[in-house]
Amino acid sequence: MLRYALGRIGQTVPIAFLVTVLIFLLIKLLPGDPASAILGDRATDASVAALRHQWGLDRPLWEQYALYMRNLATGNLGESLRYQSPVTELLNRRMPVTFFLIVYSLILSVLVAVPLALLAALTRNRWPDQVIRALMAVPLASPAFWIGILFLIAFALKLRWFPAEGYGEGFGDHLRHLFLPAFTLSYAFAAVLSRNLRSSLIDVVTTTYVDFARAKGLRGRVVLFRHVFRAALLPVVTLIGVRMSYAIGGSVVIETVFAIPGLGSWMVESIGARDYVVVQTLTLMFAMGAMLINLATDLVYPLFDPRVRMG
Amino acid sequence: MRVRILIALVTAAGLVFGLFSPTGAAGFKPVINFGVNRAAEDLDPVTQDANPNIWAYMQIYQELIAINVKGDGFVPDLATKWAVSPDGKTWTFTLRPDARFSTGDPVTSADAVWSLQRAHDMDGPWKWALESVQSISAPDAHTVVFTLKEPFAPFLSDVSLFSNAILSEKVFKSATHEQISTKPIGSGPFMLTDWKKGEELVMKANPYYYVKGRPRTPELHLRYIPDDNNRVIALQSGDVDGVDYPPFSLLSTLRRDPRIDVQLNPSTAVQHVLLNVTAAPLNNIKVREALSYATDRDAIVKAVCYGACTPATSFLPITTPLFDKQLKAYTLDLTKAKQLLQESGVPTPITLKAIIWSGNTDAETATTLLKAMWAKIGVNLQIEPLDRATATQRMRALDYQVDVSGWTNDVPDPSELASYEFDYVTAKSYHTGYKSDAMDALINKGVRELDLNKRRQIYYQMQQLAITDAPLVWLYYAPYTIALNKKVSGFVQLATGPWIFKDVAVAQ
Amino acid sequence: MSTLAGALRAARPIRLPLPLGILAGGLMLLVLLAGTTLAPVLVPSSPEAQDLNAMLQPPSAAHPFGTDNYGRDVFTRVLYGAAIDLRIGVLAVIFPFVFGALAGAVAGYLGGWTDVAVMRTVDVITAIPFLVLVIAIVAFLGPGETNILIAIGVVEWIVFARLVRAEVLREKNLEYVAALRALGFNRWRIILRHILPNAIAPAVTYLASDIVLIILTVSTLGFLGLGVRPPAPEWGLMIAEGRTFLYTGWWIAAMPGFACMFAGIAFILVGDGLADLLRVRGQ
Repeated sequence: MLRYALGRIGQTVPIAFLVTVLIFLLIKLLPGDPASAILGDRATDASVAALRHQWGLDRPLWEQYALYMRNLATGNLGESLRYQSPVTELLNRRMPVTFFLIVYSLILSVLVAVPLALLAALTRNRWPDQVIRALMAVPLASPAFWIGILFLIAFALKLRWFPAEGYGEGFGDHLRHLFLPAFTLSYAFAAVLSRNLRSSLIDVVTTTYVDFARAKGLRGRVVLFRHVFRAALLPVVTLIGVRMSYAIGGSVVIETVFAIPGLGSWMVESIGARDYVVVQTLTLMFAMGAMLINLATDLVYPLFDPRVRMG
Repeated sequence: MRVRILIALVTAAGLVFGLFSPTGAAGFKPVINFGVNRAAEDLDPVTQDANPNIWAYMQIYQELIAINVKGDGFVPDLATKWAVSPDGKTWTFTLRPDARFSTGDPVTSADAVWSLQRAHDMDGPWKWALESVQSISAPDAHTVVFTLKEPFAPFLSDVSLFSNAILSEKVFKSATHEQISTKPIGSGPFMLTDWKKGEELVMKANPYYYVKGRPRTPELHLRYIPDDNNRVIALQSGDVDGVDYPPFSLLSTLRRDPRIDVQLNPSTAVQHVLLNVTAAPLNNIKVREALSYATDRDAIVKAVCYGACTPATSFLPITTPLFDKQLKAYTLDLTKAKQLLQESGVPTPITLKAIIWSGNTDAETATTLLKAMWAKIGVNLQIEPLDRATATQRMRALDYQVDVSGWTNDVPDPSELASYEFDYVTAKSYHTGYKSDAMDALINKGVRELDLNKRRQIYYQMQQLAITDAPLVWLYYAPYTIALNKKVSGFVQLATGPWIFKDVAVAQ
Repeated sequence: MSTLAGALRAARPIRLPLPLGILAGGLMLLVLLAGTTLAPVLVPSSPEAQDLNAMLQPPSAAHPFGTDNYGRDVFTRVLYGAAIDLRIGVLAVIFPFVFGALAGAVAGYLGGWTDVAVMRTVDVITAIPFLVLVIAIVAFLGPGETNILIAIGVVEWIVFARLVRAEVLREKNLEYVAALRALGFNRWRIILRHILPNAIAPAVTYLASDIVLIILTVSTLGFLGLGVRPPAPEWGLMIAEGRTFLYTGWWIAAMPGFACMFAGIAFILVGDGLADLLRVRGQ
């Protein structure tokens, strides 16, 4: 087990390194100059050149990369070119917001997906199953931002049940403000989750149910549920790992639709403003976050299913 | 007896609590919440030209003189008197003795000289404002003297520019750029207390502000709500007391709402189309004239502003002093447009590429409308949406053909725009590449002519020459749109754009 | 729970010649295709025709989906938009499918350094969230249809590579492969003509889901201003433009989304049906 864990971690490190290079190059190749973007239409050429020099943008690429990596190693995430403030300061404010949103949406997804998948699996190929499958196909087929906008029109604009934007103050307020965006995100994730969950549940139910069908009353059912649920948790865990990447991408758009001051909306704004430092750091954070979750689920996986051979 | 004492104590306690309770004046809210569509990023007056930055620090900083609300004159700010020498080269300003920074330090001429020298020396977008100045001196603690290179007609306008704000020399003399950008210390009615960048800017009353009883409300929050719908919803739900730039399309809905007041404030804004005249086919004047004749300004006003704007005639915004109301400008005339295109010798169909900054809905709408309009004379406009950074860069590098853009005068004088738009040296003629000796001559005469009537003639000639040379297509003049809760009183917006919050009170 | 389970168990299963998915989805696709090809006949006006006297009109007989802020007919635009989104969806999946399948097959069969190189590249690209990476690439290349195709091509092949590689790893240990090798067949021939056709099934079933993903990505890019250029009636772009008018013209943003959902469901049903079909055949 330990060897497996170390092996997986060992694989992740060089990949993480390559990811930083890829991101750095990609951002550097973005057209548009942050200095002239920030100084505006009326800036003189001299002032633009001076600012570029101040930011080290006129040094050779590898030197800029080396400097960036060295700063990263010491925990210095740089300064936002747009706000003249340390990125860490802005990050500390915006990260909890996105974290709250994603966790909230994951919880909602599980709450919605598990019962539906169970129902679908138990009534396999009959009409409740067909209905649920059709219902779950909808979010897979629709753009998440559009569903978000529909919810916005219905529940925030017309019915005024929820606020239309922002994060609010205090835990209860956060729950209110983030319900619509979290629900939008969770709808898509729940769809994927319920489909996969349904398949694995069917596999479990067909094999074990028949065995226990003859078992007496309550005992059989209790064991069935315990076994079924244990088997159900496994795909949930792996799916979260695998689809986390999509969830993070989805949160970027949803934050824009609902004007939530999290990492995603910050990312979109920073790309537009050519705030290199922020875009680089955020992309890196998204990537590292996704990789960590993947790693975590890989490490946790064998705990749920000891039958899995490691490696 | 005991009951009476109890009542007295309770009443006294109530009075005490009432006096020190967070409500400012009785019956008014202690905080103004204002929703804005763009976030402030940097509060350094000398280096920043984006409106959200300027309008935010204008609550904190003061100049020697301020522009009046209508945008055609000046009122005292830090200076109470000002006078010019007979030869027109020396200007003397007398500072008020009771102005103080939010640190408690008095505002002296040393602060003024330091701030103005910085604005004069530093390479920034407003350097031109003090270009005419030879030297600045402080003969005593409350007098500031400017010596000009030669008599300069727009001098007062230029000195009133917000970039000439007076900062505390003591605090900022050896400060980093970051400090000046993020921790302003001014003498105005408000001071910055908290800044959640990209979210909310919080200001509180400057305890040393010399006008007693101002600001009427001691706390101001500028909340960044970029989405138009969300901003309006925030207003209607009472989350904020007012918003800027409610979209034109929502004005009629807002006017029907009994809780909301809609303001259309006269502005120094003009919306126009930049044309890159350095390359074919736009270097052909007949092509440019044809485009101007093919533009249906009334339709644009209808579809972009829902009737709230005025079709443009002159290159100058309608509120600018020396605006020519009688100017014979372009009107919609498709026949003439087609005829001009034929005469130009350029074969149709002509393909032109338009760049737009994708965050700017009004410019996008106008460009889409122009596409349909110009198609009628055989011009195919291809639209390329770009993010702000790339759009700015392409425009500055003259790597575009058509670009719908907007301008706001920052001073109550036509010279600012005239020089930016037609002087090649300043900004390649507003990044169009236009060059004209006749225009250059007019620009130079315009700033040197001190006689008002003669000056008017010069600028009238300039406006006519602009029509003749047509380096841009002028579209419309738009007012600033503001929507406020009816409980808000005292809100004022200058024609140059900045809001004034010191007189604002919000009823409970 | 027991009474509910009992009742559900008693409900009758449905029987059809082909999986329901393929029939229903196929029908929906036909409707879409018919709509896009017959568009010039069905709707006489151009999707860009402006009528400033008919701005922001709600759905009516004259304009079944209403008009937008330029007076353009939304139904016409949605119909023409179908052509754009469907076209990009189908085109964009070709390169990832072909290149991904080849890369996966080669990596799986040859193993060793080739496998390491391919799979590490896959890992690096996977590490960065899909949408974030596509946004970054399109921001670099600039908006427009071609650039979207390039961006998606660069990123999406990894899914097909993974699917095919997994199958090839299983296939290459089968007896017939050893036989082919013993007979001295060139290994490229083995990969391309023998192994790949047997390994391709999961990738084919994934095609339909991927087209949906691509259509959604194109819409998202359009929504963020990084996609197809205005005034093209691309669905995501229309939804973005409609955002300003949620109060005064909710149909502008809503209708294109319904169309997108319709197309998406069609593809998903076809994909699911295909999967069911192959699974039944496999058994």
